[in-house]
Amino acid sequence: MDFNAGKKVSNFFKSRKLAIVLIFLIIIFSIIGTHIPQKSQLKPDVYNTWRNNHPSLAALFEKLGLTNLFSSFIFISLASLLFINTLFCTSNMFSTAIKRSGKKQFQNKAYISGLENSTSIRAGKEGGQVSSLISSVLRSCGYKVTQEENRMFAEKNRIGAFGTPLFHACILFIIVASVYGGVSRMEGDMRLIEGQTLSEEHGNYMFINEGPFFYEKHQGFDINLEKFYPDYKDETGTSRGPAGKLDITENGQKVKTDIVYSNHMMTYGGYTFLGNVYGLAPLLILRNPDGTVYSGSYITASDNDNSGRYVTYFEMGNTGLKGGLMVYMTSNLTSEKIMESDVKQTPILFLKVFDRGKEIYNGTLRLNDTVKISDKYLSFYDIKYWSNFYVVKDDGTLLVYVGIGLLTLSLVISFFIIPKKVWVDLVKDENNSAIEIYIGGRADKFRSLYEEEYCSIVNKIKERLSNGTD
Amino acid sequence: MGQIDWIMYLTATTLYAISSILYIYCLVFKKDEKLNLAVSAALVGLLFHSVSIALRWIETGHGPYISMFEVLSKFAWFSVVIFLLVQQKIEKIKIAGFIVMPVSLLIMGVGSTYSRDIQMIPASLQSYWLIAHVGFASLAFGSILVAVGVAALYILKERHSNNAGTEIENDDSFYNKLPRLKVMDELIYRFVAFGLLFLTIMIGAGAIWANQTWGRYWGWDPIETWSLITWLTYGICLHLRLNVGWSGRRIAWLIIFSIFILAFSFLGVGYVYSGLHTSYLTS
Repeated sequence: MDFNAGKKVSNFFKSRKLAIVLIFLIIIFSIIGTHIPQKSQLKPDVYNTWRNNHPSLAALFEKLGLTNLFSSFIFISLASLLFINTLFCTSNMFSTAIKRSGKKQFQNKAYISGLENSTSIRAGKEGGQVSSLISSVLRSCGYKVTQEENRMFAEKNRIGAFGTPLFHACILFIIVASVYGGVSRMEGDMRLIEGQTLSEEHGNYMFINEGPFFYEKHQGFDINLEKFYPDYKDETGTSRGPAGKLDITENGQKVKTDIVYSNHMMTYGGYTFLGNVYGLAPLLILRNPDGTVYSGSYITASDNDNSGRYVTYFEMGNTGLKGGLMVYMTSNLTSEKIMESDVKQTPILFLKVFDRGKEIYNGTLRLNDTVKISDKYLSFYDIKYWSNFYVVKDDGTLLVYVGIGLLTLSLVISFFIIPKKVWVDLVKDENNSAIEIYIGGRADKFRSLYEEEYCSIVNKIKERLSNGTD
Repeated sequence: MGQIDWIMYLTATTLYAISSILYIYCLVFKKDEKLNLAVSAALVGLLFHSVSIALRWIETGHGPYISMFEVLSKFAWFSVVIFLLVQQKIEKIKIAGFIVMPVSLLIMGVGSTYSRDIQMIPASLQSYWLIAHVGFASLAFGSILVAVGVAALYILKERHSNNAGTEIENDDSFYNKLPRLKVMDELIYRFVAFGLLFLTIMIGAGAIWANQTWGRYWGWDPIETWSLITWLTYGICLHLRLNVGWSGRRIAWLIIFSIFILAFSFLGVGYVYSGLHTSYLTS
């Protein structure tokens, strides 16, 4: 009873029709997922706009989990079922391929005559001579020949039988690798001002997302933004867009330096660093009337206004004052002929200061300017670039790449290395005066296309028999 | 140089149009004497097309994969190249050009409506993986387009055989000059297999490029999802053929239908959905 139930379950999961149904359902859900706004795909304000415009629809979709479709219960269930189904089918395919590949499949004339490609040739030669001649022709065509009395079995491209099971195994491998990568993944944004050093710790990320099996395994090495280039040109002079030169220091030793820009990430200890947004950070110092420093820091102007200028609001120490600034780099117009690299850019800062909501200052500051705010003095001393770096640790990525490589290889094996078999049965006629050669051949795939090769083998055998050469 | 490459492009389009007309003429009037002329027109058109692409490559400093004009031109070029190579090897399916050439002509025509302004290659697109990604996408499209051509021939021949009662061996009619139905069925399978292989490499190269650019190899972006949908669709086609016994007319129709999914995935998604790829595809 139990055995039957187990067999039923096994047969259910082995079913290739089940695979088709599941793939079809995944396609349908994927199409739905591209039509319904996905929270993970959109910026929160864009998603909320859609939500506000379609409140009843949004509520329904959210209830059904369709706004997070690719991580919804139903989608994960379908993918898991397909995984189990593929697992059963793969193990079945592998065992079949192994069984078939180990077998010497000698066949008699009845079997050979029933094949789509079969021929019989009458030869007036001695049996041993005929079999050696046929064997030589088959070997010259790349077949591995084995003989048992008057029967021969030749095959080539045996490895091709493993292409399809390997392909399915690779799919399983990619899924496992991506799940492993996902659960042990860490991703976050680290903001660095030029010259600043931060250690790789949870608290130093502006945003951080850790998989359940990451276990806070932060490495604690130091990351320093040595220099930021708003438009970096590499050694060939090619413009690479914004770039940051990062140093990694461990135990006081500089262990890695690289320039990070689009399509050129830095990797260290399994972590990858990618360039993200950047901006300007003016250094504002607030002094008491006696010249002593009251407070001061680099203010990261991290938001872009509509014109792409960097803006931010900030607290001015414990004064209760609030500031709002906008900063950008500018250059003076000149009538002289100069190169682009000679253009000297200087920062300009627009500052507003509010005291309990009331504007008490509105003016422009250039580098080293000082203005009186209330009873204190505010100076614009320096400006640096800041940049966010997207830091990722995903141990599954390399495994996924290996899986994709093997998947491609398995497809090549599966479709282009086709196992081909030839069977021969030598039957002496009643008078022992001649031999009837029964030859049959078959390819595991593209059988009609195999005809040409089969005919060429038969013609070669006929030719050799009539020439009498061995 | 900009004008010369445009003249070459228009000349190629005209020759593809002539080739398409000749192929359709051969099919409609069941006359194959004009087939060689149709192939010649396609070949000369391809020469002009290649020169046009090469000149633009020199002028822009990058391959045909940045603007929509370039992308469509590249798709048509790969389709014609693959078809001409295939018909050279399997002469009996020459007439499949009645699908390949008009589709290539349509792609060239649509491409000509887009801006030909030179766009500098953005930093995010400066990757060899992008070149592999778009190159294999074109190869996949070309292979599957040839499969569609053979599938259409299969349906026509099968209909003719049904009307005639059977496939007549020594009949010298137009349809009997085509490969046998079984052979055509396997040719469809083989070209789809090529397509699936190229789609796999395309997705793999795209995943590596995405990881370099955005720090993740897969993000369920609409175009990523649609490329997976396309890959699964062709996976289903092969499964149905191998495991459920679908072959012949049913699979031929399925392959013809599936190319709309492929074309939408490659060229239509950028217009319908917003996502990371959209600005690239609709630029």
